[in-house]
Amino acid sequence: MENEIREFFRQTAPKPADPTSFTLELNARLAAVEQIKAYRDREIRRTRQTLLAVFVAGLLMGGAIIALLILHPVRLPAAGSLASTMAQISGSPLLYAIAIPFALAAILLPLLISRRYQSPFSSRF
Amino acid sequence: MTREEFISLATAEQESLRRFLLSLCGDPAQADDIAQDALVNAYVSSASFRGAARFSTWLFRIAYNCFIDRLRSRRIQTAPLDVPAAQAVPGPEATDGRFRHEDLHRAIGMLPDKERAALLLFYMEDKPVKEVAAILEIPAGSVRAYLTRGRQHVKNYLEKWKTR
Repeated sequence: MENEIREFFRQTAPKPADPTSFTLELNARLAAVEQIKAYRDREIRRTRQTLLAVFVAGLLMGGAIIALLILHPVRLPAAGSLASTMAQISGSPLLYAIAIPFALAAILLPLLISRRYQSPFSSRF
Repeated sequence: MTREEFISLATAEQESLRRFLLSLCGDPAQADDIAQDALVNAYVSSASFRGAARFSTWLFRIAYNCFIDRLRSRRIQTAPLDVPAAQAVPGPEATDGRFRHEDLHRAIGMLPDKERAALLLFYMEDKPVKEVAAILEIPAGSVRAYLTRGRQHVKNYLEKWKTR
């Protein structure tokens, strides 16, 4: 039986049609894939660059504001004014409770977003 | 891997790949379509090809998975190959041999997909059991079992038809 099956396959193995047209079609498909891949890579690179720029700008602005606060001479406002209320808030732990989550979000969100927009070609296979 | 390198490797394998898929699904247009899909998938993921397996094994595995995907999504129905090919083959003793080949052809066409794939890879493509196992993503022992079961099924069909 084994020899018979082997002989059968040897004699009746189907012959695929013209390999030239198959290769031409394959070439065209691969060229299309390369175009799509290049476009996606470009988009991903641009998104990452934007996120990085936003991140760096945020850091610089934050640093500048902190530097300004440190260097700026303190003038105590008159009691009961809006400025004195603001000064009280800025000295309270409530400000840090609000500001720290915001600062963390500003750092982590770009990272999360950049992961989400990773190349579909790299994650799929 | 550059496109040219990939195409030169794929060109060397395309005939046996298409023959295998054609034998599996029976329709030349569908077989070529699956082969194209498989090659595009292989090209897209060629960066992940580390050379641990042979290129042909890796390619056949992708192609077989494409075939299974299509089968599951019911986009194709497997059909036995054109009978004229089998009819045209003169057997050892002209007429009897011809009928024998026709029956054999029909019997192989009736096998479950995995058994048929194992038989095709082993007997038609002359792949060793280890490679067949890598392509079908099953242990080598299972491949041997499929081959034994496939041969037995073919034998049973032939005996059944002979007694009719």
